[in-house]
Amino acid sequence: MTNARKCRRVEPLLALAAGADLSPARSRVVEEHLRACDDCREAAEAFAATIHTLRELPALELSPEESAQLRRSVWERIEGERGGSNVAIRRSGPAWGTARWAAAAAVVGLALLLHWRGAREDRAPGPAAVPPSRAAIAPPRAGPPSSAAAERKPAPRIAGRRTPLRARPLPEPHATQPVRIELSTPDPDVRIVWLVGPAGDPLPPLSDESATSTDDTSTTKENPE
Amino acid sequence: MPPLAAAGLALGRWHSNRGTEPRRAPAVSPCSALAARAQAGDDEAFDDLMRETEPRVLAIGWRLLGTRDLARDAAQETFLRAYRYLARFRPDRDFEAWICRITVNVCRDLHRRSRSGAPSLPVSWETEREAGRVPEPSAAASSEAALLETERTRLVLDAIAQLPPREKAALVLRDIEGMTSERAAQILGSTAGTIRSQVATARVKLRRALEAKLGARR
Repeated sequence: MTNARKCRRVEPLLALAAGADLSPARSRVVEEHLRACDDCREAAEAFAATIHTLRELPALELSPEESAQLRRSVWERIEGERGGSNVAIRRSGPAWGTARWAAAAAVVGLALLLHWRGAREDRAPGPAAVPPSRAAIAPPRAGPPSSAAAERKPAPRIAGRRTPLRARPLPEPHATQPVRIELSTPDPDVRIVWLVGPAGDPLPPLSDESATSTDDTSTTKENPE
Repeated sequence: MPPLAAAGLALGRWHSNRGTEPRRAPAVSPCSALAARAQAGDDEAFDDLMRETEPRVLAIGWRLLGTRDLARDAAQETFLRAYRYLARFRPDRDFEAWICRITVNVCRDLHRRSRSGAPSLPVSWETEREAGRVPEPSAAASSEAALLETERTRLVLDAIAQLPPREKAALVLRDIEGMTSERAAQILGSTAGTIRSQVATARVKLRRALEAKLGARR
């Protein structure tokens, strides 16, 4: 390789070499070339002198009074931003943010707890009025077309399930009065009557009209199996 | 010291420093413990932090903004921002690097603000010297070599003032403050390779500026 070609190759590296920013391999290439090339050596010395000047630049030093004044000014501005209160500015940072999030979470948690307890209280008569054995009662699977309409009535099924969709409390009458579900059959003499009342409360007597025909079914309802 | 002798000395340092220069700055600075105390609400610890980092903050501000007064303004704003955002600082990090980064950002903001009104930047070396804000050559420095060195300093400062902001910041941290390229990159949010490239470009510009001025006077 001719010297001129070597110079072209080394020249871009001289600024880096002067600051020891080259890899060892490249640094060796530059060193070897500088031993043989006066022009590049002069350029390298100029770079080194420039860096030397940069490193020897006078430093800005404040007197102790100036330094104290600087810190005083900072504290005055901090106090100004604090608004004269003792609340530190940095409380607006994450540390204070954490406390705020914790407080918000506590409020939400409390609200959920109250809501849940309220829902339980509203629903409380439900399970009592419809004990699990009754809640498990399924409407007759086979029956007249009109029984399908009764099947769609949600009340008995709602009372027996605890999923969020079913969490709506039963209407007040259900909680305090027995539910009466009457199904007609193709036979005009046979009607099916369900009475669902609060646990422990005796079921009210059936009306005369239905008494004659629903005794059996009423019994069936009590013992569905 | 004659420039060429200084160059020889610098070259010697370049060769001897190659193996010893730390590749990476330590992850935790001595100031980090103070920062942790300051985060806990200890104002004295924050005052100590200001004392500890003031020279570095002022030096960077002075080199980037050009005047002592602006450097002081930058330092004040830097410490105020540091206090405001202290809760965001992670004590396992290098506090000095963190505050240097704030300083560079503050200087950028001040520089931008000054361009849109107020005094133009940078103020020349003469203005600073006339105001008695930079040391005059000492009595012993009456020799031609000392005068030449003083002239070089003036030319270098003026040339730095003409650099684009990114090159200037890289040069200030790497060559004036003596940081490694990795640490400068950490502060400037860049990569070590980019910093090396920016610094090399800035060195070439400074060298050309010096040659153009000094060569013309010889």
